[in-house]
Amino acid sequence: MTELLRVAAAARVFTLAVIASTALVGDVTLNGLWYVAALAVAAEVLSWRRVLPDRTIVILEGALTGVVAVWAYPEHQAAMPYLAIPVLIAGIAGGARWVGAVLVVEAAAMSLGGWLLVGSYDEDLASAAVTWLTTGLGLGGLGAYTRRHVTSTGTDASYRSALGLIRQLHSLSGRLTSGLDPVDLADQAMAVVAEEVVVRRAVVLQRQGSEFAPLRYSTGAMSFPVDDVHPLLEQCWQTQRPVLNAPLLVLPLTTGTEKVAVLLVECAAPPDPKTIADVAARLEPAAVQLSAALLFSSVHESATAEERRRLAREVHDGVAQDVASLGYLVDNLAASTVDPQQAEDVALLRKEVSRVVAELRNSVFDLRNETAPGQGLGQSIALFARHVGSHSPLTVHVTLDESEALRLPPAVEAELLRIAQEAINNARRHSDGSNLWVGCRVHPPYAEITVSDDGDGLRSPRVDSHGLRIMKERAERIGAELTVESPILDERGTRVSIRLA
Amino acid sequence: MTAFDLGTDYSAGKEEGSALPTSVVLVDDHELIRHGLAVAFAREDGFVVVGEAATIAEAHLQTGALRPDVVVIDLRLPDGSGLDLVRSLRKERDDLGLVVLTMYAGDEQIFAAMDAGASAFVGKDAPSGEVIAAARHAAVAPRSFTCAGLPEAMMRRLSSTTPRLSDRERQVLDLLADGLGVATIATNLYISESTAKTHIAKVYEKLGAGNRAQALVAAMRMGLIDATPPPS
Repeated sequence: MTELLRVAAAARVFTLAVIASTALVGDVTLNGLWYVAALAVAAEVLSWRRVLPDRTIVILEGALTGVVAVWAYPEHQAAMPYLAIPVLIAGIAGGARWVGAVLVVEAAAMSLGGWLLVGSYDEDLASAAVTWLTTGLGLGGLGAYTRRHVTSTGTDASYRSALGLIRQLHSLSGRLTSGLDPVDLADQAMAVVAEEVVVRRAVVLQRQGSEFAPLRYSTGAMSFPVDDVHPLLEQCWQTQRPVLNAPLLVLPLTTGTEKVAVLLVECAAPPDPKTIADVAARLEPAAVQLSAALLFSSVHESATAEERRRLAREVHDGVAQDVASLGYLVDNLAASTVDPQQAEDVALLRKEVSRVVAELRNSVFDLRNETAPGQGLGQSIALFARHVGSHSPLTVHVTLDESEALRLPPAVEAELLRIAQEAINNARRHSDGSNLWVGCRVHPPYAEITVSDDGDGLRSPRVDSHGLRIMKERAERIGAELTVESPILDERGTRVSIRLA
Repeated sequence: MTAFDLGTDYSAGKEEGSALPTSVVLVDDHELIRHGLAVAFAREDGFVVVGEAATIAEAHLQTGALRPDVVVIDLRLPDGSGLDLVRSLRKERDDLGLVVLTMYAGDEQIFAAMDAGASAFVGKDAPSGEVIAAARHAAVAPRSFTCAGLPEAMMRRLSSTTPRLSDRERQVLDLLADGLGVATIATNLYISESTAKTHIAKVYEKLGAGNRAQALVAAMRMGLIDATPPPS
């Protein structure tokens, strides 16, 4: 806050100059000036050297000024105008509360000083005090206002607002029973509309780039051909006003300052303009919650992604390198072995070390694997499956059926990719089969991913294995249904399917 | 899986052509890795490890001063990416063998190394014999890239650009795969024959095919239709 220091210094110097000039022009003595000048210099020094916080300095400065003003009265009344300065600085340094505090301290110091030094009630003194304390109040208010303005436009303003938001989210996520699930909140928004309008089907759409991605369809509804209604959605998004094109109605979900999503409704009967306006107004609380939920899920997603990258770095730089160097040591050992039995053992050891390093390489790859921008979920899964096929005896068959226009929300895509990765890796590690089939049908908000193999099938203890449990948790998080079937064919094979409806 | 069957032929030529052994600089921030490889190279005929570096800065100093024939480079180094080192060394010298040695897996890494101008790419799970074979290849043919599984990676890269079909195009493709003609497809989808033709043309275009057979082969390769359905 060096700016504050500069403003404070300027105010002090300026006031001293004003007092000095009025004293020189008029017939008031300069005596009072020396006291306040000394006070001002002391305050400046303390402030620049950061001996005390500025707020404490102005409290002391105010108290002493009050005492000096009374003590020097009436000969030294030149000190009186300086009363306004600590209040102004308090306003800038601490805001309205500190303005009040300094004023109270000044008034108290003057009353006490008046009682002790003057002894009787002096009307001139009281009126001068009231004049300058009022001036101080005005300046202090100005300072507090400036402070708020400066801090909200300063360089750290974005951090402040982010901090505020995170605090809010933190308390929300702990308290709300409905939680911060965007899908639940989208349902609530649609329920609000259904109270006023007879709804055939509805969908909440999120803006992604220049497209609209369905976040949630009303239950049991057929999916809308979103391409056909794109102009309506676009119009609503741009104007942030309801758009009626019977039987379709598009409502903006807005927090008043921020565009959040749009709600597309097919009405049984076209509602009148008043009803539309009512519904649009009633949607605002839902929009605020939805906005918070979307923000929260994106924060959660980026935090998770960062943690995965960190883990990848740790494995890569640490244990993986150590084991790889062990491998080279084994190679050197193998070269110097002449005993055939020992050579065989060392070769076996090398094979095992290579396997472990290859596993670690794959873990690093898995941890770093993310859906690339411009690449659909199905494409990412297919790419991963083919990558796995490249270093395992499995023959990989991929079937892709992915919608061209629509995407799932990024958080959902990320979870589905992780589930698919885990299922594919399980098949590679444990199935001992010769074929791996990966099927992706992605038609947002519907998606189904199946991973099947013709291997040994699940051995019974593996049903609650760590990997399966994590897949189940991931599926629950995005409201998907995970089924594991084994065996699927003549006592063989395993099929994992994830369905998002 | 193991690929370096190329190496041995080159070594003979190298040995006869010049009596000097191939000089190698190892760049990796893990000392044990450098040590393990240095021992392996020292045992091998025709190689001498002339320097070791743990950072990109050190690597630049070493390669500048020692003028090695081959540099073995880890992709992740404390002061930057090994790929950048490969790029700048390749710019300086066209005849320098550059072997990328990495813990990273994935086709992207392979292609990135190839594009940067590396001569070979080896995973750290491979035995030191493969690193030596790669170094041998790099010394003789520094501008030709070799890597285990490169052809497969190429195939994956080709098929990874799977086009995204619209719902209608998808239906058309499925009917094409069933062997239906244009008229039957139109009837099936309740559309006019000319519309069906437009959709079919669009599918061909997206698959980069000129006719039905090419389209179906491409679709099969890209996984849009499956030749061997999973057991159900």
